[in-house]
Amino acid sequence: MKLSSDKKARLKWKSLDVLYVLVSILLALVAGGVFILITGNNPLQAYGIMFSKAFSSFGQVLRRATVYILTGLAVSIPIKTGVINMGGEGQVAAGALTAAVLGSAFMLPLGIHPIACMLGAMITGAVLALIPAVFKTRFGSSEVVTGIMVNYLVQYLLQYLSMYTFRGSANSAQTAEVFDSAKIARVGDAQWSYGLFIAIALCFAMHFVMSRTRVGLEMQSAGLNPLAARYQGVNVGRMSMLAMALGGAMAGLGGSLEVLGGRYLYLDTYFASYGFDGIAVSYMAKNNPIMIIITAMFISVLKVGAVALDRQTNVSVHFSTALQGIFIILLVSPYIVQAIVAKLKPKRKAQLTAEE
Amino acid sequence: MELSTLISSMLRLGTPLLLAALGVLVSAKGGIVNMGMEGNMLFGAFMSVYVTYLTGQPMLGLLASIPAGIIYSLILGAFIIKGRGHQVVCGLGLNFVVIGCTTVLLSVVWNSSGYSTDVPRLPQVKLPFLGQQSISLFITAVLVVAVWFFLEKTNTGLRVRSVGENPAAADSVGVDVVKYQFLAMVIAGALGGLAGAELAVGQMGYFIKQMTASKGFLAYSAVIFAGYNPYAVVLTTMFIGLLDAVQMRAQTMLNIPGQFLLMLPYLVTLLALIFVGDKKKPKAAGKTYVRGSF
Repeated sequence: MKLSSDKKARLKWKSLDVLYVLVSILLALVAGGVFILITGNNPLQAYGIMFSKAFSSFGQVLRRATVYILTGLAVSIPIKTGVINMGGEGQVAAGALTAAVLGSAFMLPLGIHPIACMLGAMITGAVLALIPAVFKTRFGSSEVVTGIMVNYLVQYLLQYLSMYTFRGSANSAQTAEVFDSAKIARVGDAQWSYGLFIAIALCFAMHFVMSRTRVGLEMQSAGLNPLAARYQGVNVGRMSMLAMALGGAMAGLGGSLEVLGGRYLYLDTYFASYGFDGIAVSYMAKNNPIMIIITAMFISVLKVGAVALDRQTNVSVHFSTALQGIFIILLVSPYIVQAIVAKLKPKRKAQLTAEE
Repeated sequence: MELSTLISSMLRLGTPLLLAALGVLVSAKGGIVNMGMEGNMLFGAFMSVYVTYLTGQPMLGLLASIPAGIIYSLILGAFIIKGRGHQVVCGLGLNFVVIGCTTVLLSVVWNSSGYSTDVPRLPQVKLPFLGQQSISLFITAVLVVAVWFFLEKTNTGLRVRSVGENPAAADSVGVDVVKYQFLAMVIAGALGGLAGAELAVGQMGYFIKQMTASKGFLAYSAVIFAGYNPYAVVLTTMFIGLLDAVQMRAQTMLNIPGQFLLMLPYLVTLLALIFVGDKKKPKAAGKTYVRGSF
């Protein structure tokens, strides 16, 4: 097959991108290994436990990945538009509660009920994401700080709602179980539901919207260079609000899919950390919606593996949080990884010439 | 409710915030948006409790938090200044690293998933009217003046500020931008470490998982409200401390669900951001300086 030089160049850049991501993952795993060594465990054994557990219970990986795909999208669309969605945490949980309440409050016909729950969750997520976006465009305050403040407000509000208003169990702060009509079917006897396909379909849809439609390209141009975009007649403020609302809707949907296809109810603090994990998912995928499917799986493997590690050793499940942090910082400071790759390269060239 | 108990708990809740805010302020003046303050505090808190646990000396714990904070801040600085990373995202990422690592180490050292064992606290002083305070209150008071003096009255402080306002101009007259940014990060790290230590060994006397609970971000907001002025930072952080104190008192006195009271500091911070915006921000804060392409 013959490729045009333009395509070749693009392919080269893409493969370089993949190389940097892989090197970053490798570096992070090495750093994590050193940390495990400090805690007095054998790193190889620990990683062995993590990955073997993840593959033996792959259904669980897919179930978690369903939410991670959507929280990843919730970060990547705003990032492409130049805003950071730090409120994923609250949006996921609020979406989950909305879905649980709508699913358990009234009966609806079989096909419509889950859709109504999902729509409700998406609207909740979008509204929550709009708060930091409006603050940013109207008052110029950092969306990171406001996003985190909103997270705390939502966290306490949900705690109250699940403890008093919508409480469905005497023993713990949780809602009633959703009706069967609202449930999304699981695939066979597995842990994961058909919600995964919704999430994957949305990745492709978002990729199409961002790269092939007018509004998507306007959003991207607002992210790449707001000033130039403004001169071209793009309303940057409106685009960042739109992107945040879309992202929030994705996060809310993620929470609702876990309720409708997994847990079947809202449990306080059960939905913690999904939103923050989405940041790592998105950055590892270089904010590319389709790559998010792969990185969501990877983060999910780490998370499921870390739970097993927690049970079998004294390394707690938060080890995966630390690993994700290392991924993030390595991936957003490209010069560090580039410098390492560049150091390796001349050696390889020298080797090759020596072999010849 | 007596005014003096309210003021006393305001001071106790506000001091760690104030130290962290001073750190955020110095790094912002040097042109770096320090979203990693949260992790900086948490790491300082952990190390201070750990050293106190090993030696039984809370003063050593307090001292240990300074190098711990500096190391953390230098790592963040290396990624931002040398690695040219996105400042906000790097800070957030490093927060996750510290949240993860300290929680893992918590279970390794104390074999518990939530709390460490109790360690001795810093010497407490009983003051007239202000109630019981840890001695780090006085250290903080000195540091406020020191930070102001450093930024406004010394040559080095002037250079740090010039790097934050216009790094290209500073570079053109021979100011080493990278050096002064790292210097700002070192100072911020030391202050952030002390903030964590004040929280952990100054007041609580133990370490809890994620004990900083977004205080780093509240500190960042306090700096914005204060218009990047070291003295105004005292007022804004103490105001947030006061809100927290009022909230705690109200929990026991009023019949409002606790969740709504816990929201108070975050809600007020959020609303205040409407009126303040971020206009006084140093011009180059958030952008990484690359010579020739700025």
